[in-house]
Amino acid sequence: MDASNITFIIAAYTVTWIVLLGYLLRLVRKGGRARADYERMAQQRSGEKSQ
Amino acid sequence: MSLKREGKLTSSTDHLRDTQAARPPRTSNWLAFVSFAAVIAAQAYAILTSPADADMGHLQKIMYVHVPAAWMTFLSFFVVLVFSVRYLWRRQENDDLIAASAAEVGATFNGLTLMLGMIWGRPAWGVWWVWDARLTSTLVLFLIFVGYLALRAFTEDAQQKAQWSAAVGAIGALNVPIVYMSVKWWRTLHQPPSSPETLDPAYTLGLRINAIAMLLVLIYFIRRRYEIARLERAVEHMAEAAAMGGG
Amino acid sequence: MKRGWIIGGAVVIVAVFGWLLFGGLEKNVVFFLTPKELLAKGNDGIGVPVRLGGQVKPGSVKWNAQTLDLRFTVTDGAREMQVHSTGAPPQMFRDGMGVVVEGRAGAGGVFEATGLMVKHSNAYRAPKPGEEAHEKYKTLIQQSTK
Repeated sequence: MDASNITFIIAAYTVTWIVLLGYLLRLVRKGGRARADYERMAQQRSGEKSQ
Repeated sequence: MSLKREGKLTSSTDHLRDTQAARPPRTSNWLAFVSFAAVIAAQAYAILTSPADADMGHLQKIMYVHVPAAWMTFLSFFVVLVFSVRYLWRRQENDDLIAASAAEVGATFNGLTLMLGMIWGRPAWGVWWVWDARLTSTLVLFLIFVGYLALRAFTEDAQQKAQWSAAVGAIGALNVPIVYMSVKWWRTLHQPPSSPETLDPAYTLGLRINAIAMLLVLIYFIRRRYEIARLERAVEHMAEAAAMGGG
Repeated sequence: MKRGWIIGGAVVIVAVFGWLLFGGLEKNVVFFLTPKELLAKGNDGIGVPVRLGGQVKPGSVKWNAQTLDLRFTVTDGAREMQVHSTGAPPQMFRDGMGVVVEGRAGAGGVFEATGLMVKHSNAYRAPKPGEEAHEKYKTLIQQSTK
């Protein structure tokens, strides 16, 4: 019984980590893009201002 | 000449104040490390120390991920409810962004809960899925918040987006107590929640620390998502201001 | 690309809500009947597809591994019903366990099952030496027939 159930247990923990790390990766990527856009925009704006 | 110069100075300090006020918070990375390390430690503790269940054997160990995922789903949507209502009341942009961040994180945990439930159901019940009140209401909750996120992706106008999603978010979150109570109100295949009376002490501590560890991850996810939402909104505001003529 | 996802999502949502409204939910709010409730229907309960839930009466399981023929009795403490099923049961199926069977009650009083599911209680315990695992299912069935 346990021999086949170990597959389901491993599957459950694997799915958990895929979702947690997958969402973390999404945040890191999206965050990096948003931060870069923000810095570029802020610089552009202050550049326009000081001219 | 000097007047013009002064004018420029004022607008330049205005701009500084704007960006200062809108400057989004930076979520520090230590919470990410601490929360993920806590999950690893909690899972290791629970897996290594808990005995096989009298009926389920080691399948009981799926509880340590399925149950905390479900709790985090409920908690996220409660945050959505609170900040959606607060938005409708005060009309503060940031309340909308917090609600949206919690909704995305909540939908992620909701999807995870469903997948883990199916993985647990197949060996424990003999079926991947049944249309009982608990499973069906959990799926409906998931679909509502997928719809919420689609609505946000589709709506251009920021204010319209905030109003509609606050309404959908608040009504959608009202399904949380229905999902929770479904196993008590109706006859289901899913068992009612365990309590310290029905859960052997050998499993209680493991479940609790896994829930706490997952809570840290949840807090990190929502904070980080909110930081991103603030950055994106600040960019939108600056672009609008630029389009209005640099004002 | 994005539009495709949203339309696909909308179709799924509408389909599920439609299914819920047209019959699905009504039938599933009470996921199963107990033997007492099914027998109380008399002839109306015979031949119609239903789910029957209860406890596998201890000592009633007869399993023929050659013909894959499974017979057991489902009880709710008040009434009981014989169940006939073909095919291997789920691994957690055993004497005294909670169970939900899909199928129809035959005229002879035997329930012909097409599907078999195990219902767990919310109790989790490490097995003690010599312990009978099915005691807690009696209380489970009593709870759900209240």
